[in-house]
Amino acid sequence: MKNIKVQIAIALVCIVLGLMVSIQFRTVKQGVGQVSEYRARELAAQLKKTKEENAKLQNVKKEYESKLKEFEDAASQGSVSAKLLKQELDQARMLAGVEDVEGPGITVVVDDLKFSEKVNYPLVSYSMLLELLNELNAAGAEAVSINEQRIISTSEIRQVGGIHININTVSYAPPFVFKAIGDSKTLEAALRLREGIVERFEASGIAVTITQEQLVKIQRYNGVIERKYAKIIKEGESH
Amino acid sequence: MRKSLKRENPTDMNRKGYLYYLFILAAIIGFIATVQFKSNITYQGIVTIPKLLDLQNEIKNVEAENKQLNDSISEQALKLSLYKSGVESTGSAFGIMQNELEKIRNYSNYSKVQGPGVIITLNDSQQEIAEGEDVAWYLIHDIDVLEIVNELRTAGAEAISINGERVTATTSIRCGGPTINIDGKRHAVPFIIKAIGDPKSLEASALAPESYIELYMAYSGLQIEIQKVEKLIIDGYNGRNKLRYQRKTEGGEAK
Repeated sequence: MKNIKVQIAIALVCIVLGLMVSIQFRTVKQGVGQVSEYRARELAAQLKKTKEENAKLQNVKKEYESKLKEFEDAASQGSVSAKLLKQELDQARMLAGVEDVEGPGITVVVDDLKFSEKVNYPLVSYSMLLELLNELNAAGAEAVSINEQRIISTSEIRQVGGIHININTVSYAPPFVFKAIGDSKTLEAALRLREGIVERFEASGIAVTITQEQLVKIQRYNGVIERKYAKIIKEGESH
Repeated sequence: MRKSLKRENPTDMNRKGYLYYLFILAAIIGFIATVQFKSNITYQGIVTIPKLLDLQNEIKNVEAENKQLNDSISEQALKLSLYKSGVESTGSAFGIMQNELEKIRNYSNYSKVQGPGVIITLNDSQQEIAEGEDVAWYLIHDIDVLEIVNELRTAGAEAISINGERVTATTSIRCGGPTINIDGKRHAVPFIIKAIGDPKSLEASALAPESYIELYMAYSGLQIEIQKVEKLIIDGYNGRNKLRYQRKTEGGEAK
């Protein structure tokens, strides 16, 4: 009797152990485990370093900007024509997307609720973002950013492997946050049209949240705009 | 009591053996459990491969941003030195600001530009429509134009126009029944998309096997022509200034 009891106990322990081992192996197989802690720490340290460098560069950039602004402000004090020139310069910069702007508008959050991450399938594709941007433009948006990337005339929206989408060559995974300046009511209504873009997104399992805002702030384009090929034709020049 | 005592004596050795087994098993389980717990604690949550990939991606992004920042800082340094020399030689930065305005107007697509590039011409299919087929497959749609423009941007196009309408950051391309509205203006086929940039890379991106044209437009006889051009002229944007709602953020930065 006693023997059997002890044997049963051992058998139970063995079963539990067996389960533990098999669970362990399965998790490793799924690719969720087996990560060297060292690698994670190394990456975290590297991220911290790059972020510090980023903050430093931001400061340097701000310094230069304020110096440039001083020059322009000083120049625009000079005469009426200089003042007009400065105004025109500011407007051109806003239209080119190289100036921080603000105004009424909406924010739109497009979220796959972590679905894509689990199955590594892009539920939110680049073409959806492209269409949403196009709808906003059609509804009279004056300035748009996606995940703080200011959309300028050369901005691309491109699928890059799996769920990531490049905007201004920086890659993002969902959620995508659109900010748009314009008439907030018109902007929202255009997206919420019957059988419009929001309904289509929601039908494919994407969560869309739209908020009308008194003041949307949109950052300027952070990169360098190139015009290596497109050269200005001066008035009166023969072509 | 007596009975059990009696049974116990002959099996005393065996029982001790079991106890050893149990002890060893308990020790192993204990060891495994401790290792497991300890490693979980030092991971600060479980580190998984997707999380590591996220980290890597974030590093890549910040590095890309740093590169952008570096580039724009050197651009600004150059501008600043121009301003300084302008003030020194002429007493004001007026002339430099005029040059700057010209450059920015090119960025904002208000100026007429010229350069090398490609012309892509799109027209509806002339093929017979077979029974049961949708006529929509044989037509050029707003989405086709939108996707092609996006691909040209990816390939580095610096200026784009569609049937003479300059494409800006806020240009909309939408279906208007038999026509396509570009920035609210009606246009019909053929659609002529002009793009200034490196002609080779623009052409290559349009002809690539994974390009939108090859993937979605190459099957129903849609007429697509891609032409490299040495010198292309694209007019500036001539619509309304989209400055009704937006204004410059004064002072603090937008965040």
